[in-house]
Amino acid sequence: MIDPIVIFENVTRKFMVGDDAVTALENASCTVNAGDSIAVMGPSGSGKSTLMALMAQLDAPSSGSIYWPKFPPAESARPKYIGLSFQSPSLMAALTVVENVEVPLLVLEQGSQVREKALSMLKLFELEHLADRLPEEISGGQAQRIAMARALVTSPALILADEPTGQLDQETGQSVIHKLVEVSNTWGAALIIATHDPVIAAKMNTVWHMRYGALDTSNSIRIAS
Amino acid sequence: MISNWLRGLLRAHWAMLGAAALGVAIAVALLTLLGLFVSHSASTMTARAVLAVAPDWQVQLVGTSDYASAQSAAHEAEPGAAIEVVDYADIKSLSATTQGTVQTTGIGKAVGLDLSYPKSFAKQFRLLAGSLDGPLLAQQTAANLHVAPGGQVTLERLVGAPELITIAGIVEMPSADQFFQIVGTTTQSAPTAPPDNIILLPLEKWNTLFADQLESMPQTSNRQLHIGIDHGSLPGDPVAAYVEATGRANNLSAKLAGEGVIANNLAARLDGVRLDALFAKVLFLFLGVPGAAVAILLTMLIVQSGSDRRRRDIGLLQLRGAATSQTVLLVGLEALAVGITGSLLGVVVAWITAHTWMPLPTGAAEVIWFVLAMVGGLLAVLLIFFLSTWTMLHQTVGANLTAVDGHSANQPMWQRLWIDVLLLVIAGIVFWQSAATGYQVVTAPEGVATATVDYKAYLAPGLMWIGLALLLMRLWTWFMMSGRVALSNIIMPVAGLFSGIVAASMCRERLRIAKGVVLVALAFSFATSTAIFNTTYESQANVDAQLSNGADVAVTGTVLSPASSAIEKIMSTNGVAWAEPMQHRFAYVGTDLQDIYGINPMTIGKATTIANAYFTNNDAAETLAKLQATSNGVLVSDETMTDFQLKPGDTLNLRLQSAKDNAYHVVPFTFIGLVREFPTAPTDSFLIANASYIAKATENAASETVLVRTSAAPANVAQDIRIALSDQGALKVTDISEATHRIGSSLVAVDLKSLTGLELAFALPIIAGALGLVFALGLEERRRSFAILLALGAKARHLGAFLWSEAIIIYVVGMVSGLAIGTSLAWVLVKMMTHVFDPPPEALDIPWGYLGLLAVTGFAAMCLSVYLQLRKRSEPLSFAMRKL
Repeated sequence: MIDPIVIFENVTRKFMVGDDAVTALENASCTVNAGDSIAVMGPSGSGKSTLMALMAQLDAPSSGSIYWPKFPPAESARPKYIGLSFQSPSLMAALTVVENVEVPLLVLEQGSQVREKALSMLKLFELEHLADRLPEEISGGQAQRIAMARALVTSPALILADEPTGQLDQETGQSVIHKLVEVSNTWGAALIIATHDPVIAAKMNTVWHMRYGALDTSNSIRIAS
Repeated sequence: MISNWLRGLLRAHWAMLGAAALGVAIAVALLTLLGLFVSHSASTMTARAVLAVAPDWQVQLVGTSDYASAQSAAHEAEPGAAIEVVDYADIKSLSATTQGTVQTTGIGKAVGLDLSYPKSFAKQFRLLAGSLDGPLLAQQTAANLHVAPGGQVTLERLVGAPELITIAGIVEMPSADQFFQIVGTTTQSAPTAPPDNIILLPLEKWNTLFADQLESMPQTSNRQLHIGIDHGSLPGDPVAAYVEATGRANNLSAKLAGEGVIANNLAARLDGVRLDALFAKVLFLFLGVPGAAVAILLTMLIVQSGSDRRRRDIGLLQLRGAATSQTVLLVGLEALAVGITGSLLGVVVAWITAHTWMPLPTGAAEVIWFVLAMVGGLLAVLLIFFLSTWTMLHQTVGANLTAVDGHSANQPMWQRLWIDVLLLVIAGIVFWQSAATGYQVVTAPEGVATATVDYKAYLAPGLMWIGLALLLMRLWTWFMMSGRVALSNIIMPVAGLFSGIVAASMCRERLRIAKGVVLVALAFSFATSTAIFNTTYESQANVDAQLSNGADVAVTGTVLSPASSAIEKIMSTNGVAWAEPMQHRFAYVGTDLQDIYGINPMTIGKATTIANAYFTNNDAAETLAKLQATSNGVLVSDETMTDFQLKPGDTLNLRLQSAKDNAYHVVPFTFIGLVREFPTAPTDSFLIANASYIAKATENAASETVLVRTSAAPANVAQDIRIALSDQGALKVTDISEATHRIGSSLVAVDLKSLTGLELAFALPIIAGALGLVFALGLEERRRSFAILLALGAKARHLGAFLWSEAIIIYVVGMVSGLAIGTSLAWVLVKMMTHVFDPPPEALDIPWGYLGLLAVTGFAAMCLSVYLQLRKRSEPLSFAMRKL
């Protein structure tokens, strides 16, 4: 069943670098439906992160339109409908692991059972033993997984993960992706992963390609679920 | 390379460099202005002190015949000086007949003066009635004889027949002690009391009357030259002026070649001022240096806030093979840029302030203060920069590129060694020692050119300030380490659901937050202690002036024209809150004539301040109640009690003049207590008794003085009373503002109000800067956290929870602690400066208005700082996330 969550129509994003305009995304059109799992592949600087940022409402297009038909326009989509993890380390240094995971729940003003929910999400990623550690006391890979636990803690309809396995060994990476897919399937959420890794991409049912800001969805592989 | 480096620094870090330069500018401006104040106050002190001296030198001539050669020697030594001949002769008595009764005084002095004398030494006499062109009577003598201008007195000489003299005027002699001093005694000897009975005659008349006495009893008369030198030629500094006045007197002494002995009143006055000059310097140090210290501390923290970036820069320079000398040069360049800009800005601010607000002299003599402050500021910045980069210069490339300012779990050395407590203990011991010696911070032995300051005493407030600041840091870090739940509850109203993680975040940032709390507390404490000290000083100056004038306004008459006769008119004048009659008569204690004041103990306090310090038992209420309860009670001075071996309850027989026969009659009083000072009373012996008893004993209920408390500006009320009493010319109306200029301490010359005004004005940007800086210190980390929070969907109110919680905690804890530290410091300062106050204050005066302004300024600075950090970011969030 076609159930669109994000629709891009001829979206272009340009940035000014000094006096020069750089096009990070050009004339991109695509649709993400509920239950989709999409890998966005492309070399560094191809515009993957820009695409993810636009989907996550972290940025606005220079031209074109983006629609999120299932998300009420009056309220912010993050963190209730969109969960995202970043390429760079994104834990707050002064908060413990569990406190970092609690933040999206607190933003949603879920006063009750915040700690329990955060701990159960850490447990999902087998990180509950790190709950009281500070970010400076854990490894980069652990931090990346905690960031993913934080992205999922609000059970969002759209999960965006930018290079989620960049700092993980292959085995752990595979396991993490497996969990992401499993969770998104359980919730019927759409999962979009930006990655260089074809092994990771192969776990998704659709693969998009990006090159010099151009999004190519025409040759994407759609694996029937 | 150097210019590129500097350009890059300025482009990338202009805000930090600008803030550091501003901190230096505040410190330099404050120090420069302090220096200018010291310089200006010293010269004002000298100018005011010498203004009150008349004459500067009294030359006692040896022999009485030839004074022409002494005059010529004086002219030669001091060309342009005012020189007057003054003759003194002992007399048997003076008597006058009034209303059929004869009043006769005891022994006295007849003084011969040239008619030009009052012009040469205008401050020597204050004309109360009549004119100066003829024989004059001193006020007290005129009161005893009941003689007014135009009246006649009989002068009984030691040699010759009685002489009838017609009196032209009645004068007050404010410097009678000095005028009648025995020249030739050592300066250490006690001052001699002036004679009770004084008549002043034109020189020719005196020569006619006392020629025979001069011949036959030369020991009963003497001749002096009174000399007034050009005060403009004296140096501004009291110590230098004292040395010069002494030297010039010695020069005259050499020229007189044994013909005369000099009493150097000018040097004696300057000798006293030296002490006040030192007190003034101590005041400047106590009040001013903490402000400059806070400004330097502020600069230090600003510089420190860039240490991460500087460490990376040094690491990169090392990586590219830069030698240590080159690295030092580049770090030094940053320091010089900050130091030179800040110092120049500081002296410009000081110069503008000195020419507009104050104003203060900025001539060639004062250039030194500008130079010293500039050099000091520059050196301080260089020191701060190199201390903060010293370890980086000696670390490896790797260490510099990877190290960050961590949140060390270890206690700092000072905490482990309990340095804070140690400093407070030392401060306590030093303060206790100061208290034991009566707070003798400054000593200037009379006649010795050098004066000493007990610099050890500075340790008490200095160490207390540092100790309390460190103790605050210890307590606050301890609280944030163990009181996370309590903190979470405290910030709940501001942070709501975020209170838990905000408290957690704050607890982990406790060192930075504790630094902020301490910095804000120090800034507040500096402003608070200065403000409280200033208000207490002003208030005590007011009490001192009231003590001198009697009240806000005093109406003074005589026995013949008492001020109480005009009480109805005074009471009905606008702005008069209370008018209190007070008798001022004279009474003989044995053979000693003393001032006696008749008061109503129950109502005197409504008209003027009756301080506890006026009485030996330090309890005004109890003493006045005892006087009220004992109708014939009398309070005497300590000296009288000692001289007459009095014990409480003893009967003291005084002789008071009766209105019935104008003769002195014995009146029994009961000695009930000791009085040190009293409004309008002289500094030596006097008596206080019930007005009703004196009225009954003398059959005269009139009061010579009326003390007035005003509800409007005293000067304006005094003017209105003058107009109301214009038909009663014998009544003098004075107000407190006139008294302020007359009171003894030359410390009045220290423009403390302007100084503290200046400091308090500086305190506002320091407090604002401290609060702003506290947030800037964690800006880098906070920018990162906020980008993450926004990316996770947090709203401005969620970011606000972090910022407002931190800001309010730092502001409230810093302000409250600062107010407490400042008040404690002010208490210590007031105690240590006991000798500045006359009388010492009974309690601190808290300037609530100013403290409120400080609180509001701090609050506004805090709100502005939070607002600036919460304002909409200019770059897309996706950009910020990529920079994480």
